Amino acid sequence: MKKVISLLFVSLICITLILPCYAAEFENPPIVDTAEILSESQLEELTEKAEEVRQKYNFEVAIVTETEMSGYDAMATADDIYDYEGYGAGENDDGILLYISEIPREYWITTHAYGLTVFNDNGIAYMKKQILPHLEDNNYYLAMEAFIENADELLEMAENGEPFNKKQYDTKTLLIIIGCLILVPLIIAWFMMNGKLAKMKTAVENDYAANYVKPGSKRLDVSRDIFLYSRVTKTEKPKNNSGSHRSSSGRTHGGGGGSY
Amino acid sequence: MDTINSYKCPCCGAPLVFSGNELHCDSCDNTFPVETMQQMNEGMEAAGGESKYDWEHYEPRSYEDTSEINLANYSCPSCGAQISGDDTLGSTVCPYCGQSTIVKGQFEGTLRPDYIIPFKVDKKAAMAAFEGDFKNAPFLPDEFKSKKKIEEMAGVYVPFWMFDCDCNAAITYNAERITKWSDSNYNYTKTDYFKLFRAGSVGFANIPVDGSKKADDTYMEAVEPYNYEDAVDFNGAYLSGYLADKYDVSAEESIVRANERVQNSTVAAFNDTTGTYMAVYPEYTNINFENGKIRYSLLPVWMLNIKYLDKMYQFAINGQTGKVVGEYPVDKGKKWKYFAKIAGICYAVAAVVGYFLLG
Repeated sequence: MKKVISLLFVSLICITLILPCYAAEFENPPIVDTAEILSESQLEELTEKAEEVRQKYNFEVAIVTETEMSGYDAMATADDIYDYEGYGAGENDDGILLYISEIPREYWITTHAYGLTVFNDNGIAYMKKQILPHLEDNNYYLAMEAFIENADELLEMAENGEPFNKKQYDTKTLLIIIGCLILVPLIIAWFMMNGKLAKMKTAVENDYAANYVKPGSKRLDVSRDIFLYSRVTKTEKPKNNSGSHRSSSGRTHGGGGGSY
Repeated sequence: MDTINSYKCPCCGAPLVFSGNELHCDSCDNTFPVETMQQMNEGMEAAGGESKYDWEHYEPRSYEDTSEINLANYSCPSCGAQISGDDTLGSTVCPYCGQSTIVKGQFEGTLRPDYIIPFKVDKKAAMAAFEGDFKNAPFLPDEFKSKKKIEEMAGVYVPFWMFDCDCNAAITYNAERITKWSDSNYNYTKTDYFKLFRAGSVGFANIPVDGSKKADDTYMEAVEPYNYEDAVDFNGAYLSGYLADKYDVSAEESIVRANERVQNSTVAAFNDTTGTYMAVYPEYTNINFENGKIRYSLLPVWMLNIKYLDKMYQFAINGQTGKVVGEYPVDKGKKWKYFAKIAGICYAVAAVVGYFLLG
């Protein structure tokens, strides 16, 4: 019996020693709170959660905060941090990074490599919806927690073979769509009903006398079309701020963000 | 640089300035060739003047009856209609108001129409045409067919003024052609503005205008058209079994409506020549004609007054073609049932669309 217990104990020690060798290695801690907007306990707790997620999927899940934005804009800063600070997992540097700047109050989620598939446009829009309300309330902890949990959720879906791709709409678009779906059938029915109703009254004025044109009497003597001038208007195409783009390093990133 | 005050910019209305071989607008920065502006001004001058509708004077002629039937005058004590007919008509309800029995009086003479189109559709055929028209009335109450009460159905020769004219027309239009394209950053819309000038002639024959105050103008216009190949010289014998109203709207009074119809129809006739522009707006219309002819005629109409649920409904049936016009009662239940049916189908489609958009 003692032999069995000894064998189990030795095996456990071996497994404990071997495991870290198989754990994914990341150059940076999952959360770099340069702006110091988290308390120590919050940082510790979120780091643990993020670490768990990135180890689970061997996929970079990181958060970086800055008091003042160091780059040109939130997108460029997030991309540069990702590219030049060594973020990413595996040989393709797969990953997702949430960048938060206090001045100006902007944020950006950048994705790279496999991250573009897992966090596609709809996925990014979904995450923004979860994160933004907390950022607007200055509750950075909850925003980051939501980011990590959503990343976990979407990574799991991708691992199961079906990346999240549910169409996301902002509130205004959603209200317009719902309004149209409710009103358009009523409007169509109203017009069709009135079309039929018009048949109930056939006693209507006849303003024209086309029936009384003498056959062959119409003669066109002058027909002149004079071009006067042109006017060109241009409208900017709506920008999709979550599409893929190239960063300053030349690598392709996806993601999205904005002000909070 | 000289200011050319006689030319205004077609785009913004500011004075154009002669610059090089062109006219330039300092306000909106457009440039126009001198020839273009000259052509445009010529067209505007031709179409911008006042239209001249010159109708010949109509002299009424009294009718001396030489037919073998005895004519009588009938008057309605309710609406005041004065109608002629043969004196054997007996008790007849007023075909216009359907309220009272018309009262026979002595024939006081009438005015001689230039021609008459005799009834081709008899009473039985007119009734069949009316009942056949029910299928075109989708919300007609089912009980209407059984519970309707025909108050009066009378064949009436309604007086019409007929207008003939050969018009010279000059019309200017503003027209637009729109082209759209886009590049990676912008959507572009180019609108080309044109001035169109059309001039020519078109002739109209027998434009009818109702000459009776008692006959509803709307009904009389709706019951058109008539085929004038069947028109014959007036003879009192055609009134046998029918009533004949005489005009109480003079030819001069009817001219206003005739002019409206001539103008609308002339513009419509030349609209066909404006090509494939995205939008065409008539600007100036000048119509001229001289010696337009006016004639007085009697056209056959079956007047039908129907009582249904204590309400009177009037119908008119073209006595030559059998065309039925009027206003049917509406079954509100049928109406809203149809609305609900269409809305239901549309909501089913909306649900599928919604599933793909939001699901």
